[in-house]
Amino acid sequence: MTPNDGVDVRDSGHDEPASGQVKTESPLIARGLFKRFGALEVVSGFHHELQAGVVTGLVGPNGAGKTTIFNLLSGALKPDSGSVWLANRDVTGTSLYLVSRLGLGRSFQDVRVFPTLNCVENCALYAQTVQGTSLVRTLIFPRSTRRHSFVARQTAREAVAFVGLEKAANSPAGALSYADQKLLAIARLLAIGAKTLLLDEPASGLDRRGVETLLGVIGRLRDEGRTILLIEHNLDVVRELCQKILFLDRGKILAEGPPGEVFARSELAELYFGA
Amino acid sequence: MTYIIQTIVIYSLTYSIAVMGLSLVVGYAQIFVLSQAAIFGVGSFTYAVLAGRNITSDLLLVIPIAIVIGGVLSLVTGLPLLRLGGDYYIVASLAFQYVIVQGLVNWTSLSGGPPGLFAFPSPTILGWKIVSNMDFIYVIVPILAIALGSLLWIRRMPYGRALVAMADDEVALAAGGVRADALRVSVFVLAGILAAVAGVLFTSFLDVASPGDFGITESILMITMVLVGGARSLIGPFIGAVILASLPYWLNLVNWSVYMTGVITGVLLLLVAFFLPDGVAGLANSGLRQLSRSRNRASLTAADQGGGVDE
Repeated sequence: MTPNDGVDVRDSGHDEPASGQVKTESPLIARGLFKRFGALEVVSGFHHELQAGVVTGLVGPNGAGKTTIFNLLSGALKPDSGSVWLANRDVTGTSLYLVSRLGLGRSFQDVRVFPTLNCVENCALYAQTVQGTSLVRTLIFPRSTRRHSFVARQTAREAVAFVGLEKAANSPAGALSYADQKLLAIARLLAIGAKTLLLDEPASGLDRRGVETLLGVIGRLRDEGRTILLIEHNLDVVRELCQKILFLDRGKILAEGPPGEVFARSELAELYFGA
Repeated sequence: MTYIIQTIVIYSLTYSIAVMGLSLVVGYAQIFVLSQAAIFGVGSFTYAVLAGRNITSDLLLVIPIAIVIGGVLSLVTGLPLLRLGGDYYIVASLAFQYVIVQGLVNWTSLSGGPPGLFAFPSPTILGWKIVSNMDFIYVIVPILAIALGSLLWIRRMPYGRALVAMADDEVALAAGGVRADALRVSVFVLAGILAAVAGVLFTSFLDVASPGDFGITESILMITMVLVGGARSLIGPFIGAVILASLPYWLNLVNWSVYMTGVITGVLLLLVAFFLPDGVAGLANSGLRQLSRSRNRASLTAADQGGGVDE
């Protein structure tokens, strides 16, 4: 925990990337990320050290660059400048699959479960080791492949049970309700064994019961000591889950601190609610 | 079995092996490959050269050599898949098709030029000479069984699940730590290896290897076999191969010109594209499902009425 618990409003000159390779406890560090699409600078100097074991909320109006930041952090996009450090390794712009193998789980706004595979298979694929999906190993070492597959399915079943989808374990993901698909998407990240989770609007499109289930699941993940960064528009969810929020506008952090204090600032509320 | 039926069986089974891997490429990697016949031809010339020069005609040696050559060549031609998306790869594979076949035509000292090579010693297996049609069937059936078994195994294992997931959503697959591009290339190489093995069988049976037999028309024929049968089904390519490989014989039976094969292949391809996206195997599947559904409905209504009709 940093001692800085108050709201820290930054001016634009304050966002220079820290240099050097200092070992920190932070599982995920973004250093001065910039990303431009054509003439539009979507992310301009995003700089943050994610606090371990804490749920951090990334909030801000539409177009603030939240999902782009997720893409930069998860390796899906390469930043124009700046760097991303996952567990003290530079993973800047590597690739989604590599960052996932290094223990960063990332969910999508549009869920993206595999509709034709069932829940356990969805998770088992994420739990799979690199050897497990090698064609050569599958053909030459059938026994070891089957063992890998068995272990992955075991992990998958536990992940499915964690989010409470045991009853739907064997039905195709495409047949699940939207709320259950969202839970399955989180279960998949658990199956990776990810210690750090990036959740893109986990509560969007859910009714109250769905939101409550989701709050329970994410709360338990927090209690297990996982580090979570989530994008969310539902402020009730943010208040309930996040110990800390980053208020983002036009690609940079305007304010950070506990949700109560950040939302108490009238100019931010205006920005957000467009009052 | 009459001679002609045996020949049809041999043709159909050989082509089944040639397109079984291709069906995974088309069905799951969702790439149209127009160079399959070229790799098939490379397998064919592997036998032609090894047997023709009296190096060996033992299939237990020739087939592994063809697997290596076909595999390496497929790997080389498949590497662009790391960069090129499905649609663009059609053009790349077309180029590979021409380069490989023209390479064979022009490497006269190896391939005998446009007419190709013919009249080889009979293929053998550990000294057993494979001569009659029935001998060939005894050789091809176990090879087909091994290929089918391997594909069945692959489909059930995580690799196969990953293929299905790749067809669903590549980005979500990457987010789970699986490389979609590696899957694409590996399944492409597998398809090439099976085509090369089939090429060996083809030429050891026909006693001829001619570059003209492995042109773009053959590649299109192979894609058609996959689509007619049903790309995502295990048995689909087998159905497609049986229908299309035997086509010239049925045409002959009704006194039509063999050249009608091309026309009929094209028409079939269009019909399948429009009306049978899952091929004949898909049709059979949905038919079965419909049947069981109507049966279920019948038993439900019977239960609703408090008992069925006595039979």
